[in-house]
Amino acid sequence: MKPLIIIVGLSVLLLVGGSWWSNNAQQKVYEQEIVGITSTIVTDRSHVQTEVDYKDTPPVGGNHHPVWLSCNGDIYDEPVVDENAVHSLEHGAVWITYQPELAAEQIEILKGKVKGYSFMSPYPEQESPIMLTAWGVQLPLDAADDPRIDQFLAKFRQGPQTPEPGATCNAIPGGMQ
Amino acid sequence: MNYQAIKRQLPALLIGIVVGVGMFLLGQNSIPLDKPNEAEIGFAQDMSVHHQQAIEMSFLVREKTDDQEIRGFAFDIINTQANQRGMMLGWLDLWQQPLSTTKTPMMWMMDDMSSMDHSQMTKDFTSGAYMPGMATSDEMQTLVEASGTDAEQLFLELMIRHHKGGVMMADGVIKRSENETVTRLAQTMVNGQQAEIDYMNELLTNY
Repeated sequence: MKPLIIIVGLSVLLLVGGSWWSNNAQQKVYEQEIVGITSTIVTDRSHVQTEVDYKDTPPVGGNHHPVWLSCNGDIYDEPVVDENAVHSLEHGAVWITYQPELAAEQIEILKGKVKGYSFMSPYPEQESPIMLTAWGVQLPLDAADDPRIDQFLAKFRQGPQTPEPGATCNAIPGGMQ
Repeated sequence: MNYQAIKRQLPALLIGIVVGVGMFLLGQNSIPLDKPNEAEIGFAQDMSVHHQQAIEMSFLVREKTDDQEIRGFAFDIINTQANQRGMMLGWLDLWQQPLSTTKTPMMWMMDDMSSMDHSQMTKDFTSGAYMPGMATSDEMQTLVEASGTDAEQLFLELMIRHHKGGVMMADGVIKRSENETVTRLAQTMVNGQQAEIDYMNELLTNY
């Protein structure tokens, strides 16, 4: 019986080892499903210096101002201009927004999530306490400790939805009005 | 160990090995490491040269004007195209292909080139060979010597033609590639550069 045990053991080891290795080697973050996301196909992406009438609140994409909002982990305490923020989405940023009445400790948790290629601002008109937005995708949330926040950030910061891969989140030096 | 017993269990052992090795190989075989075709290699090599010239023109115009809109737009091109260059050079590195080539550019989409609008065909100023939309060395020299609104206008005209050529090349690889990583970036170039062409045409109306 001894050889049988060794052989079966070896086979199982190979099987488990092989599948562990293959899972490890191909963790494809782009294919991760995140429950609750709404997707919109956005085709308009021209530079305009006029106000844009966006369908979604906050907007998920569309025409935008030539100047993007700095989105390198920036935390804005006041609402920002949609037309600038949408340009940041085009550059691959995730925009975290919250209703101003959200509890202070919830806001603190959110602030801790804002790193490169993301930015945060209050958004009084939005319907859900917290919203995560990237170009063409949006996720409404109730609580800052929802594990989907990290999933969304992992998938969409410079993710496959980015219309302009490689674009920077740094502000234009010297700014522009 | 009993030789006969091993022999009886040989099929199970073999299945185990085959499945295990198969899964190992599957895991290894992620998209960017797929064997690239001629078009994918040619596109990555040529487009990184093409992007480099757009970056150079953008740096030049930033030195020649105080116009904030032009300077901001040029800053955007510099960052985006430099990073995209890095992405394409990264593919070539993974594919173990030359990052720079002395081959004649555009051979990978030669079958399209004959039907191409020849006004788009200009000399690649580094190699002296043809690539769609590139500024000639004379045109680059004119940009170097220009200043103020003249430089802005020339920059816009050259960049519009440059982007049109870029769209053509990106379209060319989309038709010839099944590699999602390649076609996704190429598609963003088609859409993005087309949007920028429209924007530049609008800016040109100011001159």
